[in-house]
Amino acid sequence: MSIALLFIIPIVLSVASPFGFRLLGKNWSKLVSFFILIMAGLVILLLDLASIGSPQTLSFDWIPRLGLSVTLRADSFGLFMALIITVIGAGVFSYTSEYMGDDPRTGTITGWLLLFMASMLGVVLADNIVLLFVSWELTSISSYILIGTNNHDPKARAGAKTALLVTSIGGLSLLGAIVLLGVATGVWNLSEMPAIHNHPWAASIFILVCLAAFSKSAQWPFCFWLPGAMAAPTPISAYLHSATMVKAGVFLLARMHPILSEHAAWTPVLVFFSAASMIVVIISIPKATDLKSLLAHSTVGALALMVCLIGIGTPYALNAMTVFLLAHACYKAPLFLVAGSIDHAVHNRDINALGGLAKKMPYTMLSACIAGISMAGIPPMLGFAAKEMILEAGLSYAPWLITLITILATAFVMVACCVVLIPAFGKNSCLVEKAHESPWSMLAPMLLIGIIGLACGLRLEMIENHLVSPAVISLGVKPAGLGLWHGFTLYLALSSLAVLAGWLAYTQRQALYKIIPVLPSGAVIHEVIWNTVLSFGRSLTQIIQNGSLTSYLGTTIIVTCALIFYAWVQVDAPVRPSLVQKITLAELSAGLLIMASSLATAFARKRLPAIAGLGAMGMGMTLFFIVSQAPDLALTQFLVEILSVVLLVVAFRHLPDFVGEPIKIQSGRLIISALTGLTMMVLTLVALSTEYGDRVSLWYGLNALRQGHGANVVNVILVDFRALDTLGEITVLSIAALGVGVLMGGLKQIKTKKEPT
Amino acid sequence: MEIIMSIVIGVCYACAVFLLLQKRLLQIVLGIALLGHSTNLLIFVASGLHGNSVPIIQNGLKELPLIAVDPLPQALILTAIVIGLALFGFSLALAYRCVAVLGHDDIDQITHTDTLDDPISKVDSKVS
Amino acid sequence: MSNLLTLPLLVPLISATFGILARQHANVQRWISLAGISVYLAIGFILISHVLDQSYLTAQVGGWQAPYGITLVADLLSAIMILFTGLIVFSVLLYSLMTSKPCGFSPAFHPLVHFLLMGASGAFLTGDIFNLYVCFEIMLMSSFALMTLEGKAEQTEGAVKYVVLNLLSSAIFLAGLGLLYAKVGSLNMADISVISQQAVADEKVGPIRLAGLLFFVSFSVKAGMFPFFFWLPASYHTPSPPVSALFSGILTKVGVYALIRLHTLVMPGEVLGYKLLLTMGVATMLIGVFGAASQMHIRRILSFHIISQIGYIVVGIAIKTPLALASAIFFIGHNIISKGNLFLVAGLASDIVGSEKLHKTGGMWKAWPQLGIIYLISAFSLAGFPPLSGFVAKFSIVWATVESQLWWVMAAAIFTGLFTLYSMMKIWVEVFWKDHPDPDRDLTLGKNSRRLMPVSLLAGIIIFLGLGGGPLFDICLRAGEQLVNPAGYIQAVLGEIT
Repeated sequence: MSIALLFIIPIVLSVASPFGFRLLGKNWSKLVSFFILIMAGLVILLLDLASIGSPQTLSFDWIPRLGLSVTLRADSFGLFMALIITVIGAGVFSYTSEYMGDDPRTGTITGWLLLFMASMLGVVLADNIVLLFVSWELTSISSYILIGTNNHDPKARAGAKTALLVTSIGGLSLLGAIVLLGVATGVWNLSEMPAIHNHPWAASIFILVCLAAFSKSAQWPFCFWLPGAMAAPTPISAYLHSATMVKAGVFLLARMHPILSEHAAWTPVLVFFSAASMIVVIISIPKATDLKSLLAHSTVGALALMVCLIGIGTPYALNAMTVFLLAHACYKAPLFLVAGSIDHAVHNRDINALGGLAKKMPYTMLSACIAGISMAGIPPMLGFAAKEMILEAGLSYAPWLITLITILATAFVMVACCVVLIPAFGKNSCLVEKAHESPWSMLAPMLLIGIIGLACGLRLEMIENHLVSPAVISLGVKPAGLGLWHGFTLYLALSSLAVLAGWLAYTQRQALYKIIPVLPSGAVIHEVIWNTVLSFGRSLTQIIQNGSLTSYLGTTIIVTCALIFYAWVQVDAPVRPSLVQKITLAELSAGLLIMASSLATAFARKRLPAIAGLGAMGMGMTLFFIVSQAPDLALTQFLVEILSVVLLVVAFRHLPDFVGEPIKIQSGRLIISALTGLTMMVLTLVALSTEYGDRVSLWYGLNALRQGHGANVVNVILVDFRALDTLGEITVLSIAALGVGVLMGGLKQIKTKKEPT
Repeated sequence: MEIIMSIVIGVCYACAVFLLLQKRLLQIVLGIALLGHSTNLLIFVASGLHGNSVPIIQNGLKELPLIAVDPLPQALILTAIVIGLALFGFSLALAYRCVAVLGHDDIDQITHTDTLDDPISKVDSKVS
Repeated sequence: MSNLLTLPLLVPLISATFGILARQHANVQRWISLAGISVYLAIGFILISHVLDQSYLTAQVGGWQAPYGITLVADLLSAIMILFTGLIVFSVLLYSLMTSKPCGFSPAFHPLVHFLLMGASGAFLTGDIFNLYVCFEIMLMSSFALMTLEGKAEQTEGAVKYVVLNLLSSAIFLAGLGLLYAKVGSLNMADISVISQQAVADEKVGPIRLAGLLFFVSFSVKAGMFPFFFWLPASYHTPSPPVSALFSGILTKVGVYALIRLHTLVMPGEVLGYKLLLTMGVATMLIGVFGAASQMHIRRILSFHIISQIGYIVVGIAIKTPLALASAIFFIGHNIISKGNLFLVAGLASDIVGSEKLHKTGGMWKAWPQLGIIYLISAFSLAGFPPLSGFVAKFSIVWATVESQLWWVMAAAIFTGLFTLYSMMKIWVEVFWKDHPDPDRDLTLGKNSRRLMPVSLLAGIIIFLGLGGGPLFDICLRAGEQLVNPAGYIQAVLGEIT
């Protein structure tokens, strides 16, 4: 039940949020924060259950035929993530209450944030892969709305749009991946999923999973959306874009590790793309001047390290990944919150303009230091332990290039860390005057989360026993021992080297700035690709939907004829009308009249002869019906024809005359017309060949008098056997009368036309 | 006779399509009428011209002799003729309306509803 | 029981007739109309519960035994179509009652809507192919009149293309009918099915296929498939928004319905080869979505999306497994509701901001947040996001393509999803998020929660279709199984003759 509460609480709070905010004002977020802390408690309870090997599950059907059921399974790794989500969530909500103040949008934002939290918990606790996908997409939607909170700002709109489009590429890939995975294995629950690296679809599944994970976790080549998403209010960036949502990709890869990691492409692909992402980070960090964007770049780097570790895939690497994930959450979220506080206090995030704030905002800067030290990987923080493990895992995998890049990346994270501290200790700037310390509900989260990172580093054993080891066990690998102090090892040397290199790079960053090549940014490439596709689509639309009725009609007719000829060649449709044919003079002359008058109508260069031609054609039809034993038809056709000509003559006064174009320039039309004529002729001839059996009309002949009580079979069919057709026909006539009445300007003149039927 | 009539049908359809492809609305309306005639003729001819008497049960008989023409296509065509009249009447009214509202019945100038008007670049919807 | 089947035709006919009689009294007419559609909706629910019970309902009109008389048949597909049609027409009529302009519509509006409904119901229920033609004409004639109701210049322009292309399609349908009757000597679809199955066995099916091809072209025009969809983007955005919503909900879907019947019942085996149908489906999907991405006008975007979504449905029809057909049917239902709602939301929004051109809109998120949420629900549903109806529809189509290992179709479906999202977001950004270009415009004018009633109703249905997708999809699956095995249908219509 408690697992269900993890979803019920945020969803209920989310729906209540607009009203709650109206009622309680900014205290509403604090109340929410309190509830989330309770949820964190629940997660800890569940962790205990999971660590003794009986994870709580919950399952009910949604769309069983499509493999979709709401199956939740609180295993240790999921709960490990859930703990991060709830603890940091509680902090963020508390922070939001003061950060947003009395902004009227706070109610809505809190609601969306809660919805996001619920879906994120869905991602990490789902056992059913379709449910995982559902939650995954919900995080994309809520993140879209949250990034666009400042919707009056075009930058926020653009950032939100890019983020959604990029993550949707991933979402759609994930859709493909899970359907393939489910159909291939026949199993929809992650906990029962066998390893499928030998399945012929494994490669496609792997590619799709990678697309999903890389786009969500902002890895190269999708890394550009994350800095753009920084247009969101800072608490949202802290929560979604550093601590939780961006980790969903890493989480997905970790979940897929038991299923796919034996595939030959697993390690090279993941390591390659993470290395590429790290290189992008190395290039971007020295150039970033916006505090949040700097943090976003370093987040990309951290995520790349995690992807790399999953790619290496050894038990030790996965251990390292887990520890690093925790460490990252504990230092990155506070740093974002610090950035938010600075922004809140002085309305500026440009590192070149900030400095000397330590005096005015001592506690904010204290938390910046705590988090920053962990980020730089200096003992005794959790970040240090994580970095040691990363280097060890990297070295044991061995390619020196990777290790080098890893060291470089950690060095640049150090640069970022130093830069982050500029606002605190840098030169006093004019902004210092405006600065003021943030209220406690903002300070508490960043201090406390930072201190958790410190505490974790100091009490590594506890973390190992209760969090990290169960989590890696549930990923199917052996836990490795953690330790803050491994002695003077190669890893320590490398680690120190990285710190030193970072410090050097920081001091020389102006020089670095000059030598780093200017690469086209991913955002630009993304835009170019989209615009190319869009302008292609636009040209295509302009060609197809070109506005000319003539071209529409021509296309329809040509395609129809082509299809029929194509089919006629393919299928056996004999053209064998009986050769012995009676030709009566009367029929022949009626036929000739029809032909001649239709030609006359078509080639008339003035409207009057055209109308006369049409009339003649009607008369020809009447004549033909008379000689072909169809008296009823002849009568109707005659009356209808008279009426049509009357209508034409009435309308005639209002329609402009036309001058037909000379035949010479109409060769295209002539060809299409001839083609159609030929097609219809062939079809008629096909129809005239042998039939499949008796017609139903024999029955009409037999029963018209007996059952229908009428001698005129055609009439009996119309009014009795197929009366519904006649009802429909009368309806059509009356609607036409209504429509014509409307078109001619008003209903008052309507007179329902009655036709002989 | 069937072969001759199938040629007639072909010519009728060709003329109808030729009219549909013209530039003036009145011609297109005439084309629609012609199309209706051609189709009625097709139904009639395709079902065979081999009957020898009208589909009316003569006095004293209980049922239609086998040599009578098939009554069902006639019933269908009858329905189709009436519906055709309704459609023709409406098209004509539409042509009238077109001239009344737009001042012309030139097909080439009736393109405002489905050509792209605003270039994409004008708005900030450009992907960025 | 047989009376039940005639009611979906008679009730709208009666409502329309009384509507015409009451044309001088706008209020009386509105109430007649609303009462008529409520009864229709109730019949829809009763019908589907009976069909769920008995699988098939048949009524021999006038008591003439099939295949001689006209038979009305309801299987699950028909019942589902009737129900969804009833839902969208109900919401549209509700919308037109709530609209701010009290006398915005011509007195012909309500009767014409009911005539349209009658034609559509007839098409869904009839078991006779000529009667299907007549029903199509009823529908077409009323849609012609509805489109030109206000007589504006752009409506007239759109109507010219709409009318001419649809009349061409009707003529093609009628020609196919003539050929088919000449060959098989019957008009009853079940009877034709028996004869053509026999012909397939005897390898003499060629001529039937040619006739079937004519039907196929005609239905494709009505369904708005590539390369026959031209009339749709030319005209759908021109009438008043409720009429657009109605058209998007009913017209193309009747075309698709007819395609399903053609493909599964009338012409068992393949009318023109499943690859061609599949290719056309994929092309429709892609070209529709490209068209939508190029437009900068709310309802033009939506119109092109109709085409794109028809592509998904056609793919489902082409694959023709029970699952694929079920997903096509679910997709139809979802699309009727979601797309209809988007048109209604577009109508409300453009009424408030004063334009449908995206660069002249804005500010709605601040002024009308509830409408924003409703738009988001419909738009994300259309783009196939969970947990909304579109997700179930798209997910099941993708599933069907994977089961049949049609990778390129799956890729196209996914690609189309991305672009659908793009254009839905375009509307969202321009209409809701962006500030209104005219800062002095009062967007809260006429703010009235009553006007949100119909769109909220439809948004509720969208969520319901998503969350309650399990049982609903099972019903669609049963419908798909019925379609794959037409024997039950034939048995129900022809009795012991088979």
